[in-house]
Amino acid sequence: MNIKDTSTSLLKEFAPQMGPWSWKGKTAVVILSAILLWGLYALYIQVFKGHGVTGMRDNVVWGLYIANFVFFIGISYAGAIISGILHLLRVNWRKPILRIAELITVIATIIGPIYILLCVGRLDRLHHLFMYGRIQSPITWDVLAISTYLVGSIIFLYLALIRDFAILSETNEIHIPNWRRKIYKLLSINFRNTPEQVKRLKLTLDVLSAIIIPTAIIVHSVLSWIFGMTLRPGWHSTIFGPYFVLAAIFSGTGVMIIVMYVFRNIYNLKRYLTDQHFRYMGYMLIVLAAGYGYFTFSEYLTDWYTSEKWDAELIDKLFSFEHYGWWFYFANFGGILVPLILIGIPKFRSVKTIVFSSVVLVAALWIKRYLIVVPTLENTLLPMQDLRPEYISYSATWVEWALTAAGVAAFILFFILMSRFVPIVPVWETSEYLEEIKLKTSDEKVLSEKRAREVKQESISVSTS
Amino acid sequence: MMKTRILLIAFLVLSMCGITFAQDEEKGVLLNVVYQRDHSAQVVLTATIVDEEEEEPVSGAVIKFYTLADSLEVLLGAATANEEGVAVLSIQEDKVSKAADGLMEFAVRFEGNDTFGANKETASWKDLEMEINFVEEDEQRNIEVSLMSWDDEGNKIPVPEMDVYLFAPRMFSQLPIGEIWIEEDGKGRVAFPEALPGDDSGNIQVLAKITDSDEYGNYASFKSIDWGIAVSHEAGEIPRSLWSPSAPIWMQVTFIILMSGVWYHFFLVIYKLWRIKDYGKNEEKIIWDIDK
Repeated sequence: MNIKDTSTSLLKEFAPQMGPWSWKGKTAVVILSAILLWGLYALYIQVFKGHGVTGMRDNVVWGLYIANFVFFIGISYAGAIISGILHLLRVNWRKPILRIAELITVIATIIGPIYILLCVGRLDRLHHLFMYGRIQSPITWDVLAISTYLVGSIIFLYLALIRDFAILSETNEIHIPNWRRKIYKLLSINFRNTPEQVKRLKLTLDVLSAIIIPTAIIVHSVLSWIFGMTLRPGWHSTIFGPYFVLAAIFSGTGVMIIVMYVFRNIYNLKRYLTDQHFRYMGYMLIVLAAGYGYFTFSEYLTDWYTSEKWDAELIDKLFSFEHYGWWFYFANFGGILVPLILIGIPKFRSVKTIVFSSVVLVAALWIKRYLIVVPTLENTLLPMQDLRPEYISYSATWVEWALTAAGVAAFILFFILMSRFVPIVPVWETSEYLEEIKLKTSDEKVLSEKRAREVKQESISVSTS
Repeated sequence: MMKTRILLIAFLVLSMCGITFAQDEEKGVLLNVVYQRDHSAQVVLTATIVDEEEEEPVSGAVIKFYTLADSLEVLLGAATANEEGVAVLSIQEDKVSKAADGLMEFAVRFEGNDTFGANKETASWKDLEMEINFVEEDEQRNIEVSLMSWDDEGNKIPVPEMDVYLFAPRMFSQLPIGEIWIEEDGKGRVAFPEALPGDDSGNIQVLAKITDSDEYGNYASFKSIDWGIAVSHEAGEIPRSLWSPSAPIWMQVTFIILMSGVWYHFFLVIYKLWRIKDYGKNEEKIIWDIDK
């Protein structure tokens, strides 16, 4: 199989995204940078005035930051699970969407833990976590698991990029500045597609795919255990591990569909990010929505049925429209039923409804993370002497909203910048994929012609006999 | 008739002006002061200030506290009312002027601001001495409280007919353990409650309180006795607790296996990448047709 021509034509097609900035691109970068600067200003205020500028107090010690942390770590699952599992299962249609999945993983895993740093305060003591950290503490598990996961994800992304770096360092089909070409050459680590190199690269990809899946599962289980190991209503649950893992894959898949749709339209990639990709991802969403719905029902039914004092109080608050009712119903019904109905019923299924369902479920799952963190902390288990409203009910301040917006802006900005550095659709893998389709089609054509000839001969022999 | 009408109109106009003037006037405030003392010779004066009409707290009002010595006001200090209109001043007992019979007179003043007019409130209370004793008679354990005050010549006299409330301070609140009626001799007694948990030596702190007495205000004193049930509050060693010296062995082993397993593969991949680099050294260009 010679994939040079396909790669060349792909590179030519992807050249505009790696060339000079369009005015739309510039505007997007300016707006996102402005949001990022607003977040940095909020951070400056928080550092110099202290955590009093946030809505967090002695009782509700976690708020928007932790919800964002769980959310970003959740969406990082897109790469780890989707590319990991699909790679091991040798699913070919994964190839054009691999890069998006892996970039989501790395960027989200970098941004997510920053929210922990924003939440804890006294960052001058951060190194104590490593110097005096206790293995028996779920916080230590989390720190180690996430840093391990981040390293694994970066290696995984890099492995998948090596062949494209090699192509980009050699190609003369598109204009690449010399300084960039040097970087590509350095990063391509002399990859020349020799049989030995191909064999070893495939082996390393297989090894890492097999390792990244359990690592990702451990990371999100550990994250859930920070809640689950705490004796608090709504947190102390044995199914929190798998529940968090499933929710993470669900939201990660949703974000991936949205990113695919955005890049498909911006860079006109309909040939590579096809309707079929959206349909397959939509099927995944149906399965995940059903599983997530099952876990949600099981979790709340158990709490509601036993009606243990504190659990009952929390459930009342979540179901009451005076408190969190609207948010709760949207997060637990909207986020599950919308994908099930819009994608599950063939009549409604289309790229747009799949993307719409993804937007709804991503919003729902962000709210869900907020509902896991905040209402539980608002339930005061111990008697308090000073019950000022701001002590027992949390309300995020502009500082927290600014830093939340900055996180989302940073996520998009990183994505745009990365798409300028490497093609958002993997050139080598997609070329392989397209060549395989071509081969398959020509094989089928040859087979059908052969079959037709055989049938013809059979009919001739029957008529002569 | 005409004269009457003119007078009536004039009256109405003046009345309306009066209403207008009244509206422009500063609002009145109500002041209230409470006296509290405990055995540590600390006097706590708590003043509450509310809007006279709506009875809403006047937060931010500066209240000055005075002690009256020979009808002269001596400033003790000032405090600002909180959101509930409460201003608290805590002072040493020796700063308060006291008559021979223990009478203490106080004044609290609010000097007014743009919205509210000035006001003053005075109050007086008598000082007393409270003694708590633990008496065991016929295998019956009792708490005995005696109250003493002073007559005009400064001689000690018993304080009769008072309610004294007894509590045992617990972690989050004060557990009521009895109520004593003080007899004519200034003494009262109640049985010590059985089966009351104490510290690891059985020590229990007994708090005696007089509350809202018109004559004596609020007074509290306490004393400890080892009549409680000794309860050891030392928790057994929990290997997984954050403060335990090291994590359980199984946890350490699991942790090391998991982390070494994952990191071994990461390093293996990095090593393989190194090898990939070596294998490409002799090739100048990508070999395009060898992928199968």
